[in-house]
Amino acid sequence: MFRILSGDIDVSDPDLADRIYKFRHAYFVEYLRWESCRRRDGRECDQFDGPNSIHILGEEGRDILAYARLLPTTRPHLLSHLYPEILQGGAAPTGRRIYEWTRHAIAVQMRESAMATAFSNVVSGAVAYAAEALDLEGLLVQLHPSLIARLIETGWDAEPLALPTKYQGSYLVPVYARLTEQTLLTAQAAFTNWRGARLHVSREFIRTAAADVPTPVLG
Amino acid sequence: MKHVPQSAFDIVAKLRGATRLEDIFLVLNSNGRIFGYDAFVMGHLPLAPTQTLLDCAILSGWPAAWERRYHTERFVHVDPVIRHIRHSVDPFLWREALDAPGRRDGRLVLDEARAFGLAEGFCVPLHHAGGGESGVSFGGERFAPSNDERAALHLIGIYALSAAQAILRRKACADDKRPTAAHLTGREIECLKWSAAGKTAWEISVILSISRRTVEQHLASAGRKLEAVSRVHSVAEALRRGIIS
Repeated sequence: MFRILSGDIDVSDPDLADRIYKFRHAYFVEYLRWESCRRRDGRECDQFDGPNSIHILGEEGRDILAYARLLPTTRPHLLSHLYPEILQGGAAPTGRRIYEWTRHAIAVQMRESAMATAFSNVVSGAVAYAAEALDLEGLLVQLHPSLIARLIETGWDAEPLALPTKYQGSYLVPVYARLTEQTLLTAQAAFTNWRGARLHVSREFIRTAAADVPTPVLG
Repeated sequence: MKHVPQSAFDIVAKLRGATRLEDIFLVLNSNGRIFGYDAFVMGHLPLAPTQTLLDCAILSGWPAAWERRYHTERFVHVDPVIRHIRHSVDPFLWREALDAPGRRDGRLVLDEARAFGLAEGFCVPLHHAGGGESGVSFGGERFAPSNDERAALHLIGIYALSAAQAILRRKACADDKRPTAAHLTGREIECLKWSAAGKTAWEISVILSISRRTVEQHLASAGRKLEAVSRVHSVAEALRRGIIS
């Protein structure tokens, strides 16, 4: 159901890359109305997409149900290069074990289903398991302040890095979401409650010892 | 204005560590001076027309006399601030709630609040995944938060609401009946019984004619349902709850 892909798919699987960028366009431009992301070719793709970015994909057959993009903080990312002003002079943690969680998106049929919250929990769980496989300490995330409640609910330890400010008309706050035991327990519960929930992590991504990889994650 | 952000972060740190509703109450009650509010209240929106303030309030730092008046008059169904929470994901000043169409009739609630020292206020709403809304309102006699102070209260409000939600959820889970034998499947109970008798997973797989992997899965699943940390613990829990004997 879920898998991790490297940004190399732009070259190695352009058909999949295309489907991903079109999914993102439908969500961020058509649904959320992020006009600054609109592109004439209908593929939402920015300067941070590239071989070092990581895609987390949730699929059923050829349908993309959920998506998230992780960017290494050791390279330019949104908080360092797109809107550093939202930090208002504060500092954000960066490093090899910290990625930035961006472009989190859920397909319309899952958003509007009766199981929307359960599915949303599963997606958060997939991101947590991915972070675990990548041996990350935590994720930088910029979001609407009310979504901090969702982060906390899904077991992340959310630390604010600055006060909320307005960015392109909406409130935005930078947060550092630490991966904890509680995050993984919540992920486990979410996966248990969703038939078929699995995260496939190919060997290239596993940075923890093989023995540490949690059960619903298949190597 | 540098001290406002730092105070906000200190308060958020305390809220993140809150394990009881009293902790949240103390934090919100003791920090009014920094932001200019005299009182606060946290609650969820009424779920039925019969509900009143007592049903909805999670934490109340409201003057007692105002609480009584608000409860008796069932203001929770008239208050424009409450109604505005339904329509806003962003925080707002109480007076902004009056500007919204159709809210003018709720003016009497805000006018009465004035008499209890709550002339101005600021509300931070929270819409919950899956439905339902809650909010925390800060009020005072001369409460006129600056942009920084509003941003700080926005953050504090969200963390206070999240902390309260987590505490209430934990309480609800603890109050739920423990899983009885009915919640474990027949196979799970069988595997536990054989495990209690000292059989290994391999031995159980032979006894039940299923694969060893399947036995492990049944035992793991039973362990999760019993919230056990090991196989020994699973057996102990099952015995304790009378699921096996």
